[in-house]
Amino acid sequence: MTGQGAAERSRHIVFALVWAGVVITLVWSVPTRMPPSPPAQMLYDAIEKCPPDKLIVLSTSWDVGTRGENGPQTAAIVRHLFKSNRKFAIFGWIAPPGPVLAEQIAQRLAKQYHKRYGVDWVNWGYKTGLAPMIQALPKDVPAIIREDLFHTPVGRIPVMKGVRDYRDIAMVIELTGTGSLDTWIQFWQGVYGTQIGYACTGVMVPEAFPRLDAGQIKGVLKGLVGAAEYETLLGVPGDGQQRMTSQSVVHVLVIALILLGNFMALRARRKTKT
Amino acid sequence: MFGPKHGAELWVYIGATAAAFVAVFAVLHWLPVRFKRWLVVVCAFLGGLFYSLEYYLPAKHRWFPGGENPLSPLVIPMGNAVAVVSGFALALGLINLGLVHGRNIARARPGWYNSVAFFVALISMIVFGLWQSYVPDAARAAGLGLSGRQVHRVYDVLFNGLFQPLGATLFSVLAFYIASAAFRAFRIRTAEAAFMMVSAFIVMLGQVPVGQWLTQGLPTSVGNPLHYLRVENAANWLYSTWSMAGVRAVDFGIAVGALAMALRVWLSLERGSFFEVRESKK
Amino acid sequence: MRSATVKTEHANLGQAILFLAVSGVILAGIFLSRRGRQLFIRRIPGLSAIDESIGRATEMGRPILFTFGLAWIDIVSMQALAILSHIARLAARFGNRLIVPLADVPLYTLAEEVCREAYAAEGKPEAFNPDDIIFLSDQQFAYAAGVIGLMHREKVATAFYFGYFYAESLLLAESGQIAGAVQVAGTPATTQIPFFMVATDYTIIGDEYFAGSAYLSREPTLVGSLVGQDVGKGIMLLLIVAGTVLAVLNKIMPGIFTQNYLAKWLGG
Repeated sequence: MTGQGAAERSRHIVFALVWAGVVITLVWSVPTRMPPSPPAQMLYDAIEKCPPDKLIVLSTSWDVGTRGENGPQTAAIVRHLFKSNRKFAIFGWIAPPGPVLAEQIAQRLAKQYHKRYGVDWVNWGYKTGLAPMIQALPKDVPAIIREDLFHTPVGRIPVMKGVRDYRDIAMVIELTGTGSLDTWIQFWQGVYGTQIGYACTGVMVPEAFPRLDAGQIKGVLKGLVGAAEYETLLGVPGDGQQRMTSQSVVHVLVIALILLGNFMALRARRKTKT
Repeated sequence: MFGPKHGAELWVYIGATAAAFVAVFAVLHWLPVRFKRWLVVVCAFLGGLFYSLEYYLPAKHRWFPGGENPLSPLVIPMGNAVAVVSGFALALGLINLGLVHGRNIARARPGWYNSVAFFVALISMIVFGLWQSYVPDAARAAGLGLSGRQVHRVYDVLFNGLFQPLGATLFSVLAFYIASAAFRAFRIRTAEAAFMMVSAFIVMLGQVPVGQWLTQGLPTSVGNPLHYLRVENAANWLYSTWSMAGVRAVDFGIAVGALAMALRVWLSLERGSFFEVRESKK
Repeated sequence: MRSATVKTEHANLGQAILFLAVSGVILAGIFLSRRGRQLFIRRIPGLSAIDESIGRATEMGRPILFTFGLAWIDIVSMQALAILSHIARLAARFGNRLIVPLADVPLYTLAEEVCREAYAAEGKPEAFNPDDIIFLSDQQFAYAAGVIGLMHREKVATAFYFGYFYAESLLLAESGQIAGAVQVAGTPATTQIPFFMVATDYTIIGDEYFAGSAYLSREPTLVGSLVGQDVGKGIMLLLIVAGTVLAVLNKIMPGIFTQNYLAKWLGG
């Protein structure tokens, strides 16, 4: 029982340290510039090269759980698209709340850049059908999408004028915390050569690199630090840079805990031997 | 045949589909058991054969009627059919949840109040979600005195005030669990573990400003070899070499394993109590 | 970085030949095993631990929990169902309670059928409780919260995680650890393996997951398929080595090796 009590106490101390580290640094946070990594720079350059008369699709396959990472990424990319006057469509096919959460971000940023819904961007909403729907989408976009998040037929939305199929879409950027990237590679990049960008949670990053190396995706935002790097490229600090201090504290804390845990285990082993 | 239908034609198709469904169901019900297994085997084989042939036959060939792969136009309607069948599962899930939680309340099992909370959450989310989305002013029209804005406010409280924070809270528990798991379980007992730990430290420090501050004195120009000792560059190098190679290796193994499993299911070679056939162990 | 131009809509001749070769060796393995040839499988600690973990639950008189994560009906969940079938039979044999929370409704129907048949096969159909096969929610964290609650309330002695997991993997594993359960995990989700390795007692990595049904049942067809898989991986390895050599030669002797022939043949 003593061992169990000690384990529980140490767990509570660890939880308290993490809580204190995050809360204090969130309240007193200093936006920190993060030099952009090559994958983030590649995504930025790929968007810059997109023809301005074609649509960019933001596939927001994230839910409230991963909002801490995917939210700042979405905000950074939407800000870039507004700044560069590129039209985009928000779209969801995995997580129903994704388009709604992304729309909240777009509406907030639209005020800063004087953008109008329907003219500068559209929200296709969440569409059911999963992979078969993604496979059918590049052949006839209006037939699959039909109406936007607010139930307006896409034919009546100015930004959708002239958008028929994959040829009218410059790039698809998948923002996700799940394994939804391969569907776009299989049915869009591999068939029509459409450019794919990727913004994922930190834990999904190792899976992204084989695809990046093979050229199947054009760039990657790696979790919250990816958002911070993108904000550096845009020259506008946002939530990504704001939260870098908290991330620093927790990363250093985890490293310290690993070292401390090993030190204590070594000491206990030596005590047992003697 | 698979294009959109309207008006009377649509109703004819719905009727014919329903009749076909009833007929198939009746045949399945009256078929002797030994023939049911053969039916499953044949359906599994034909389904797998369709997708395999569609993929492995080329898109165009002079032997094909019209020169184009005859199976390709059927892929999307087949996928839509699968999606429709999956859609029926939504009702099944609701029914199951209703039965389980309903029984909890009816029998006053321990924790029955959680089941009450489930019903309150389910019904309010469905009602206010559909209401504010499709008929926001129906309440005022019905004389209930509620405007569309008020309905939207209730929905806002439920979605932005409850649903979002609850989901984010549970995800944030991960940060605490990662720290406690790291303290409890990461033990450096072997050379491989030490190597893995050093790599983990480099990647973790490469993601944060503190790590970059530690190696800020090192050169930034790509031509200088010391530039790779900057922690963010070292982390990126680890991602794009060792980590990528490891992920690829595991992915190859998983892909071959999945292929083997798919072959067994397709050719009905799968064994075990789930598939009803047991061979004797030799 | 290079650019891949692999077309994915239809296979080319090289890809078709590769598929036939790998499938051929898998089918050859099955054929040889069914003819009586004894084939060796190395010990996989995680899978060997399944039986002793169930034994622990029997001794403690506490339930077993088995969950699929966020898997839907596909090859991954088919394999998990095969493992569930084995666990359900042992649970029925030793009189253990088996709780199976799920996040997918079609999979829920299959899991219920598997458990019912397993209990019937052990001659204890009346011991099967359909209320223990629970559809929680298809929302990731609602499902995770439900499983965590179950583990703590029911005080499970053993937890099995076989299927496809995402961020909830560490939540489940660490909660099971706090609840004092012995945990065995197996998933083809590469990104979640580190979390399971840290927080569970036994982890099945990569394609060991697809060896599960063969390892547990030792059915000749499954064992033969497993050995065929390994030969198939050997073919992949040879192609990787050959491709790497050709890529290097193409770089250093572009006059003689004008392109990477293997990459071109496979559609790159």
